[in-house]
Order: sequence, then C-alpha cells, then structure tokens
Amino acid sequence: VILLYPYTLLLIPLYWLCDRLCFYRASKLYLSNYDLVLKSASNSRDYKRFLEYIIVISLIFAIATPAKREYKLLNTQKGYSIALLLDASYSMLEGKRFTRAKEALKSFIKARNRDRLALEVFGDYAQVASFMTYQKEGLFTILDYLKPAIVGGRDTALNEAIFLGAKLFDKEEEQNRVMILLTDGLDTVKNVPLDIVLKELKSKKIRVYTIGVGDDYKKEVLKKIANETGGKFFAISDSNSLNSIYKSIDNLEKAKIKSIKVTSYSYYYQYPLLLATILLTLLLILNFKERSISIFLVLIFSLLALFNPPNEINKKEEKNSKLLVAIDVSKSMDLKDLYPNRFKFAIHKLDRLLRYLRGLNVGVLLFSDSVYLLSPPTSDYEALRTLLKQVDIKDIKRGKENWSSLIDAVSKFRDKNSTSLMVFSTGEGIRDINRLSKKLNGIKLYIYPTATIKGAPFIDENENLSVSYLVESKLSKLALKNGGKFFNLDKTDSDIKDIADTLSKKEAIDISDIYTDKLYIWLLLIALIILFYRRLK
Amino acid sequence: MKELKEIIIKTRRYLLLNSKGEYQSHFLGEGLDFRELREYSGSDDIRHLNWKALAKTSKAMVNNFNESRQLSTLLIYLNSGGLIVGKPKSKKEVAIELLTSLSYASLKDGNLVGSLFFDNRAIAYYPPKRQKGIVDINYNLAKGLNPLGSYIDYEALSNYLLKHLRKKSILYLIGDFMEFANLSNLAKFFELNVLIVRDDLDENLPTGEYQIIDTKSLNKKFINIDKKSAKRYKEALMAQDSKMFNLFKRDGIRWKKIYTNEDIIKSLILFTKEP
Repeated sequence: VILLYPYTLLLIPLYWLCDRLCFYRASKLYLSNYDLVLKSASNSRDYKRFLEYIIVISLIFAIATPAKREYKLLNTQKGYSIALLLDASYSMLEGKRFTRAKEALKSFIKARNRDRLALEVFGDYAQVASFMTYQKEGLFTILDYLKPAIVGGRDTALNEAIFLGAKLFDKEEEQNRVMILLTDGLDTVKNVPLDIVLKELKSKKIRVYTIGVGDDYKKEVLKKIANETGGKFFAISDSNSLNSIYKSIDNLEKAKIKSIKVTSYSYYYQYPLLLATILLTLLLILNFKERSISIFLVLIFSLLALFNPPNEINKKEEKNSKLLVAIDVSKSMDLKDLYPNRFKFAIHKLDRLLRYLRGLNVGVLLFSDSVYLLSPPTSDYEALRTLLKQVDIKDIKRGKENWSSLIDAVSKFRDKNSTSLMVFSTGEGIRDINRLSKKLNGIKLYIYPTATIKGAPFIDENENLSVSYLVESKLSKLALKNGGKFFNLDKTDSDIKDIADTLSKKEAIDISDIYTDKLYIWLLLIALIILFYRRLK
Repeated sequence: MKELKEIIIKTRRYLLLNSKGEYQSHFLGEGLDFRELREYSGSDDIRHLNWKALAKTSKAMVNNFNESRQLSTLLIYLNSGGLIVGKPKSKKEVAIELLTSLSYASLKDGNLVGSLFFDNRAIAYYPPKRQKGIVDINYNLAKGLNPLGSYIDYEALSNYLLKHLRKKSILYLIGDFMEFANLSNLAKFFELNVLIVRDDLDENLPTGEYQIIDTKSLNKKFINIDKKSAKRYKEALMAQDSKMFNLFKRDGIRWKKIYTNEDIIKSLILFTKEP
C-alpha cells in the first residue's frame, strides 16, 4: 500500500503548528488559582481535542489516498489475432460436418476471450464474415447465419481463402498471428498458386493450423502449409473429434501468450474517511449543546466524499449508451420509390451511418408483424456492417408494420444507461401516437423515413391497387414527442454526418465524468479548511 | 493623591454614619472597663488585687479590665499575584482602598497603627506607633507593589509576626485568600480580622477557549473551559473556602468577603463596627 499524494501528510505538522500558534488569538485569562482551574478543566477539553486531532489526521490520510498498486496482467491488447477459416462447400454437409464445425468454433471462440478473432468462409470464392474483433457476440450471430454454400458450394477456393485470410492480419500486432483452417477438400479454383500463399503467410509471420476433415483433402498440401508456417496439421476422419482439435490448438497457443503489465490502483481512502466520519458524528453528539455548525459542515463534506469514490475511467466502455436501430421489413418496403428498394435503401443508410457513429452500442432489429433481433447492442460496428451486408429477409414473415410490438421489444433493452431508438419506416402503421409515447417512456425516438411523400403503388391483400407513401406528420410528431428527431429524407448520403452527430452527441457519455474523477479530494480539502479555521478563531 | 483623598473622605463619612461606639477588643488590658473577677495567679499584677473580695472570700482575687486604650493595630497587606485579577476594579485597587481606609479609621480611633507588607517574605514593616503619616505611607507603598509573580507564605508570615510583634495587637489581614490559609498559630497570640478580597472571576469562570496564565508562577496553558468544568471549579473553590472558614471559626478569627463590585468602604466600616 502506498500513498498517492504523500506530500499531503505535511498538513499534519501544519495543523499542529496552527494549533500551537494560531491559538494565541484566544484571549488570555489571568487566574488567581491556576492549579484548581487546571484540576477542574483538564479532561473534558483533552479528549475533544484528541478526537479532533484524530479526525484531522484521518482526513489528511484520506486525501493522501492510500492505494494499492496492482500489476494486472493484461493481454487484451497484445493477445492473439486469430483468423478462423471455415470451408463452406457443399461437401461439408456430409455427416453434419458443418454444424459440428460451427459448434466447435463457438466453444473455441468462447475460450479465446482475450484474443481478436476474425471469421472467413470459403466455397466458390472466399468471403470475410467478420474482421478482427473482440466482440464475441457478433461472431456468434454471424456463425448462426452461416450455412454451407453461402458463398457458392461447388468449388473450394482454398488458396484464395488463405491468401485473403492473410490480409486480415494487416492491422494486427506482428506477434501471435494465428490462422486456423478447416477444410474437407483441395483447392479447385486454382486462381492463386500455393507458393505465393506460403510466401505471403511467411512474410506476415502467420502460423497456420490446418485441419483436414474426411478423405478428399490433400494431406501433403495441408501438412506443408502447417509445417512451413510453424503450425500443426490435424487429420480427422469424423467430425466428432473437431472439438478436441480446436481445444488442443487452444492449448498449444495458450502457453505462448505474452502478457503485459498494467498498473492499476485500488483505493483505500474510504477507511480513514469512514473513521473520520464516525468520530465526527461522535464529536457532533458530544458538542450537541454548542450546536457546532463547523463540525456539522465537515461531516457533510466527508459524507459527500465518502459517496463520491473515484470513477474509473476504463469503465467508459460500459457507460456507452444504447442505440437500437429498427428497420421496417413490411411488404411495402420492397417498393422501389427509393433506389434500389426501400429496404436496401435503409440498410445502406445504416451502413453509412455506422461509419460515423461513436460511443454507442448499436443493436439492430427488424420489424413488421413481429420483431426480429438481428444483432444485440454492440460497439463492434465492423462486425455489424458485415452482418448488414448479409441480411436476408426472404424467410421472414412479413406483414404490416406493428409499432407497438416493436416498442415492447425495445423496452426490454432499456437499462440504466440511456437508450434510444432509431426507426427506418414509412409510418403507415402508426395508430395512436399518445399510446406509443407512453410505451416508449423516456426512450428517445429518432425516425428516418423510408418512403417518398409521393409514394409508390402496390397491390394489397384484397387485390386492390393502393399507394404506400410517407406519413410524415405522424412520424415527426411521434419523434418530437419522444425527445428525438425526424430526419428528412435525403437520397444522397450527404445527411449521414449530421445524423451521426445528432445521435452521437446526445447519446455519447458525458465527458465531465472523467474529470470528476477525484472529486472527493476537493470535498475533503474543504472539510479540512473548515477544521483549520476552527483553530484560528 | 486624588484617590487617596476620596478614600479618606468616604471613610470619614461612613465612620460618622456608624459611630455607635468604640471598637470592642477582646483583649484584657489596662482599660477602665471592668470585665470580670478572677482568682489570682502568679503572673498577675498585684496592683489589680481586689481587696474587698479577698476579705470576703479569703481568696486572692484580681480585677480584670478590657483593653480599651491605645490598642495596637497592625494592617497586613498580603501581596499575592492574584491581586491583579478583577474587572472593572482590580483586587489590588480594592485591597489598597481597604488598607488606606483601615489605616485612617484606626488612627482616628486613637490606636497605634502599624503595617506589614508581605508575600513570601516581609517587604516592609512599620511597627504599631502613633504616627500620622502611616496612611500616606501605606497607600503609596501598596500602590507601588506589583503583585504579579508573588505568592503568600503563611508560615513565614506567622514566624515573622511572632518574632517581631511582641505586643498584643489586633491584626487585619488583607488578601484574596485564594489558597487555603491556616492562621491557627497567629490566632493564639493575636486578634485576627481577615478581609478577603474577591472578584467575580475568581469564583465564576467564563466558558470558551483561553490561554490561562498563573498569576503566581506565570505558567501558561491553553484550555477549553466548558460549563461543566466551570461548575466543578466553583464547587472545589467553595469547598476550600468553607473548610478555611470553619477553621477560622474554631480559631476565633473574624472574616469578611469583600467583592470588587461592592461599596468597599461601607462594607469595611460595618465589619469593624460589628460586635
């Protein structure tokens, strides 16, 4: 345990001096029988002075802030970067290989909670599913979406996948680059020669672990890749043992984790402060008849300081507020009055928006009759954008937009941090503005229109021709009523920055929090000044 | 000098107002005042033999008279440090007033007047004589004394008096008697009158934080006097006083507490005229 501000202890001799010298201001009193006075007056004064001394000393110690310096071993920053390459060709359907591989990957991802992970799938061509990220939730969501042949399933673009996978490490630390490749075939696309792939891997110092499933793959190739890059090759005939292989890779790489020291402090100032507060209360009770205002004030300030512990700045992440983005997927969203259609227009806007947003955890919902959670709130925008690109709404049951069920769903995400909702919609489904506002109950509502005022014609369920158009008045009313904003439709992307500013500015964390960090010190200093002043009178 | 005159004028006024009679001494002596008939003991003067009584009772009887004339009075000014205390009039001023007034009154009564200034030793001693200047002398001497830092040694006082004052005398002790004083030794030989000068501050302490200073040793200390300690102090002082007064009573000493805010000379004259 050390003192963060050891020089504050100099206040103790200062107080003592003040007590000795400043006290001369006390009036002199000549006494004819001094001894008798001393005998009668001795004890009462002394224990109160003693108490006050202890209070002052403990307050000074609290200001000096005893803290324990802790060296935490952090490897988040310099952990591993792992690219997971997953074969998604048709052949992976065999014996539920793909599903098992996904399960194995999930448990692997869970185990590597300090590493940055990327996910790539390959079939006819290679496709990055997720860039390097710490956010595991995003990866899981994406994994759930993956299915064989998502990127074409007839061929296996193995070399291309490795080559592309190597690019994922461009922005990563030089050390600890690991690639895990799972395949059940051999390179059939042949657009990248193996030599070049190996050169690329070596120059980027990537260790490749290769896993061959089934019997169709070329053992020599995978072995060569693994051996030349310093990895290891695993062969399995059945996909059941996949889990164990990922586990063994996990173990292999764990031993090499290089961690860095990070100093952090745990504060103990509360203990002397607590002592001071108790003694102050005691003193206040003892001096009850004198109604000592100064001691009362000191007590108040000490209590305030006690309940204002230093805020840890690194809690910032948790303080992010939530922005839920809901995209209308009702049938009218297929209309083409916006290019290429309303839904894709909304997706495009959101994608652009994510480039500029900051300090927000963004979650995405789709809603029509019912509400679908596309992604829980995350600060990993890159993963989110990848996800958005792959959004497929063909399988979703799409009816008319139902605002009240959307708001019900959103309310579940409400927490102590402020939550706001941004809706891409035409506003045709809004019935009762007041009821919706009531349901929102403090959630700020921002609305971006996804239709033109002119609208577009469509054939409704009764085979009648009708027009779907923007209900601007209702939407803007609803947004204003809930402390948000109704954005005007802009077919170009020039409004994105403004939108991002509006959302970020209002929802980003209050920066003053960081500066109030050590408020208790100021509170205690005020308390101490009052105690010093008591000596001066 | 103006003060001195004032004191004297005041004393004269009260003497005039209270002139009931002369001072009644308890001493047996050469006066004209018959007091009692007593059996002759070896130490008696044969001139006082009562012959008629001798004839009647065939025992040698002696006439005893009250001492009435030429009483010798010694005024003792006890210069203790505590005398500087007192507001608005200090105890020292009061003590000087008492001393001057007493000197004048005793002189006026036709007594022999002397004075002794004492703390832990004799500062000045004027044996009882018929001397007119004694009022001025006492006034000026007392005025010139600085009490701060001095204390009274009662034992030294009795030793000094027993050594230097052979004649039976009436002694007036003027001081604040803030400490317990045992005057039994003196009371055996002299008639004692004790004038205790007190200030309110001596008995009722103010509350608050003070730097207290001992007027005797000049020691200093910071203390906080609260109501409780003030009360405790007063109780302790009263206990000490009553213990002292009980002793005075036993020894036949007359005493009077005079506060600085009183009409001092009036209290004094009334005290001297008390039977």
